[in-house]
Amino acid sequence: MSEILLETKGLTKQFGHHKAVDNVDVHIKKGSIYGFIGRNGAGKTTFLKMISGLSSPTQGEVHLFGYTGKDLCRVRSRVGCLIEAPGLYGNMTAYDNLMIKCKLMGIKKRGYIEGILEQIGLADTGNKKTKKFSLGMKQRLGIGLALVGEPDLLVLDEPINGLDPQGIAEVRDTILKLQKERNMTVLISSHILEELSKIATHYGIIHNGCLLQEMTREDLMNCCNERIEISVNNPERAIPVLDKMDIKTYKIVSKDRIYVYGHLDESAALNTQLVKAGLEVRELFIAGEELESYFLNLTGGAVNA
Amino acid sequence: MLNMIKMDLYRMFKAKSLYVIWCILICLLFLSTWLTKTEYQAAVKNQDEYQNEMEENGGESEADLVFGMQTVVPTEVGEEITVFDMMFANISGRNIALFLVIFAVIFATADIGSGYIKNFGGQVKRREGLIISKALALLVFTGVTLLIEFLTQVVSNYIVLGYLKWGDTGRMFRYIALQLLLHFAVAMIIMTVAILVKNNVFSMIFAICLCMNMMVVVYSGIQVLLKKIGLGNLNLMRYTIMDKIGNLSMNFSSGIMERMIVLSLVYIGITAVFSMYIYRKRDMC
Repeated sequence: MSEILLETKGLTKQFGHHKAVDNVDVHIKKGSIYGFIGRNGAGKTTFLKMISGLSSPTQGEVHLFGYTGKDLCRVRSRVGCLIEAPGLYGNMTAYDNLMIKCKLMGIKKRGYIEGILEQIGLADTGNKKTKKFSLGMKQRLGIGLALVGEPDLLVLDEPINGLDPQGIAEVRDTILKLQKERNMTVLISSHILEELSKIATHYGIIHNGCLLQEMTREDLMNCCNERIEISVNNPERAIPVLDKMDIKTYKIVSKDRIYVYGHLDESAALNTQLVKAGLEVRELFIAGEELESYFLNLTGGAVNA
Repeated sequence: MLNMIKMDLYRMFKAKSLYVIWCILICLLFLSTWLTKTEYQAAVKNQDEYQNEMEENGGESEADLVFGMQTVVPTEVGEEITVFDMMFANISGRNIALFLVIFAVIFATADIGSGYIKNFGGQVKRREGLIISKALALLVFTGVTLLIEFLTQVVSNYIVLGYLKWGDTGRMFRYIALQLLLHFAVAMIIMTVAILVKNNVFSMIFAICLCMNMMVVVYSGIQVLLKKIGLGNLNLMRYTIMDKIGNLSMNFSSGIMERMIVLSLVYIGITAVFSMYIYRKRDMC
């Protein structure tokens, strides 16, 4: 579990003057389910396209299965991906869509396609053209296409987008099953942290193209469960104190209350500094937090995050 | 590489558009034979007028280029219309080229347009291979289309005209082989344009304009410009594949054949290299 399967160093993608992905360093361990979280337009899809080999980086390196640079082409076939909406030939059946990819991968095994269709719950679609599929069925077929060739790394970009609760649960179960049975590494992006938290073992949080944080499930739970809540007479005057202490993740929630995320071990020092700055600290204690609030705080919900 | 070719051939033969195009082509060929028969019968009644028309078409000059498409059989009054005559009329009339370019646009951009390319684009070792496989699939399509044209012509001549005359078969197969190469070059040009602009509507309009000789306007504009900057009287039409398809005679010499082969290979080579370059450099989606 400790072996790094995918690592990026300073990965950047620039379109004109806009950096869609800016100097991102991620570290994904073998067998993990890595949740890549960010708001819409944060740079998740662009990053995943570069990982999948669909787009080339402007700067930076991708290390995949120990290969980098031009040698990456040797291991590209070990990456299966579903980027954005599933790309399907609408006038063909699910079987034909899978067969096309099987031809490319050189898979001739009998019953292989049927096996994938069974796995993704589309075994009974018969001659139905994919243009007549529901969004959930298309999404599952997209995952099925990504599974052709038994990839070691599965890259899924917002696979639960537009799905109903049952569809979401099915996709979630499929991912967990693959990870468990095949020890497959999964890189999955979403803007819904609550959903990711049900399956992901590791997290990377991206905002405006920059990776803000990488953490394990345990780290996230710790962060989410606890925060410093401060009640002061003038929260605006507390900002220079927080800046001086290099605390960047905080939120002024009302006219007399501030939430400080992380930095739990600095609560005493924080109290001292606030008092020294002439602020009247009425309350300072450690409290819990919702996952979603934590994410929002990190990605722009906070005043200065 | 072989897997890519297998994939594209499978995709091509599974595409509905392929069979729709072939069905329309077969119908058009029957219609063309029937119209030719009607026109020929009228000509027999009005022999002098027909002869004059034949001479006019035979002596078509660069000055009076025809916009659009036309199917003119080279059969003299009193002779029987052969399969070769009809093949020649339909091929030089750019009927086959029209169907070919329409399919080339649909086929070349199907994986990009549908987004299917996202499923495998990153997994292939060399993206350039995808161009080679597409090109080979289009070559197969061109070959099969000409074969269908030949078989349909045989059947339609027999049914519509009521007799079957082959013409000079040796010359006919030489003519078809050379036209196969020229048509493949056209397919490559259209595929490159479609890949470059990534817009089916524009590519389709361009392809149809090419078949309808509408590009003459563009060539003339370029010629005027070249003349203005002192590069002399360069006739661009002479170097276009469409011109060669339309003006290749039934009884061409070895010299013409060599020139046509070289010209086709130059076009095929340039378009293939350019398409590969685009595929290698451009993001897949």
